[in-house]
Amino acid sequence: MSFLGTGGEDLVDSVADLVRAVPGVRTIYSAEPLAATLVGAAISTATGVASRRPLIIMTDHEDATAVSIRIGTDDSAGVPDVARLVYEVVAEFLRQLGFDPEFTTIDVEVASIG
Amino acid sequence: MKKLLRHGLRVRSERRASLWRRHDLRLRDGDGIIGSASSAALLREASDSTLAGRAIDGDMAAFEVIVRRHSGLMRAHAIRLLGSNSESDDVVQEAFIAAWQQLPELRNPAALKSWLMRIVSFGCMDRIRARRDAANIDDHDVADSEALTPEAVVTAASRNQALALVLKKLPPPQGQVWELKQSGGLSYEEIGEVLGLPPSTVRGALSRARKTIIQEMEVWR
Amino acid sequence: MNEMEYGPDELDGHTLEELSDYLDAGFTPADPSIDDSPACQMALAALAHVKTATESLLETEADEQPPTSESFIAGILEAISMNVRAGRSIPIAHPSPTARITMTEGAVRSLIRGAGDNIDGVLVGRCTLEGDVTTIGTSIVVDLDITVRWGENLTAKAAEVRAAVAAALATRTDLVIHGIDVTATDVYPVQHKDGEDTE
Repeated sequence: MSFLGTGGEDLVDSVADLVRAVPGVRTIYSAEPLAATLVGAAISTATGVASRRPLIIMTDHEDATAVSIRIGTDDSAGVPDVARLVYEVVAEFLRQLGFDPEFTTIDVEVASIG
Repeated sequence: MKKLLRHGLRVRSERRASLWRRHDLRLRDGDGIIGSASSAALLREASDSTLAGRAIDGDMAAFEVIVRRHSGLMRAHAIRLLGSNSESDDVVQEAFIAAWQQLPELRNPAALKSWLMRIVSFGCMDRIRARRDAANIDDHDVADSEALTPEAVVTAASRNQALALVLKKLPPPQGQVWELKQSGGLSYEEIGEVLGLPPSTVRGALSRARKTIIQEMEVWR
Repeated sequence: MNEMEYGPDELDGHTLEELSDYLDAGFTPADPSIDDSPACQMALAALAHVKTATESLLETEADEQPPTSESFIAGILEAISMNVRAGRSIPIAHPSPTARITMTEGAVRSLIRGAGDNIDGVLVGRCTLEGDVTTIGTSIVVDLDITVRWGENLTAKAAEVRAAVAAALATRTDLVIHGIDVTATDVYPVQHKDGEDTE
């Protein structure tokens, strides 16, 4: 079962909303590498449709789930505290949904500090 | 006369273990805003070297200053090579995007401008080759000799006009070779590669172009 | 019309191409056979004239164009915006084995740049983090260079920058900072003229 694209969008959106609400989070970035994003941008220019890659990548492989989140923080708090809080909030959310914490890896990367 | 004065003054901190870890210093910005109007002004006036360094470190604001500063010349160069401005904007945009990616490999940040011009040169020649492949015809412009008489050069109102006329008169591939060497910053070998000519032909064309231009410009003077 | 000849016979054994390369190289290394030849000097003068005329023509053509549009610039910035020069991943500690929390080196550099830029009359250049940032607790040395507005005290400004950077890193990150090296150069307020690099 994969959460990318169709079917899993509600879950990705919920996680994204949760992350944005964490104090100290300024923005959420795409988790795609540059080349893929450039192609996406070119396509969106041509068609006029915003073709944003998923903000949060969640892949489900057998019984393990990997979540990848890239954020920018604002200047209100220390970066490690914000990043740790994001992790904990997402981890708790997924635990409540029934994900096994032992097999749910969550990457949080702070890509900019504002 | 603007002059650049440099003092290579190195101000070193003392390397003391754990000195800064818990030091209670207040940031000068008080209200937490990083950057200010004065730093934006300093950025606009910064040298290409400084801007390139910051852009390599990821500062997009510095790169934007680079774009604003050099895009005019790059566009003019592209229009010269492409013969029109329908594709020149695209080529220059692509050049800047490529430049951002390759900036970390630029060994001499002070040579930013000529490096950017080289990227534009290669981009233009790729387009010209693609046009030629698509249309399968020889794309050289033949100079319109009627309007470009020697008298026209002599009576040109300004040096710029005189030179523009002389350059237009150059038979192919001299005009392209001249542009790629003088403004485009390419080497003989590179010009040969992009034009599909042996380096000896390139040298010969450049040499003839140079002689023509010198003689015509001396006449104008 | 006076047809000037520019072959090796007229140029004391030199070709116009050699002289052109000599001009481009800034007349170095010095070649007395060129420097002491009147014919070569005249040819060099003509070449220099052509060179400035060429540069001036392109600059004029650049100025005569419509100014670069904002959408042109925005298009470029959007295309590059995802590549924020992340650099190395700096780990952030957390007890859970399924947590992988990091911040990028690029983020820390932008924090340092912001702190330094905020000092009046200072513009940060390059900055690097020396040491193994990928291991928590390693001592890191920050190395940055700054340019300072002409007239300011370089030592004082460098000290201000060092303090601001130290404070920013201490309050916003968990990095262990062993030292901060600041290299300062001073410059006149206006450094460039129409894209010309005066360095």
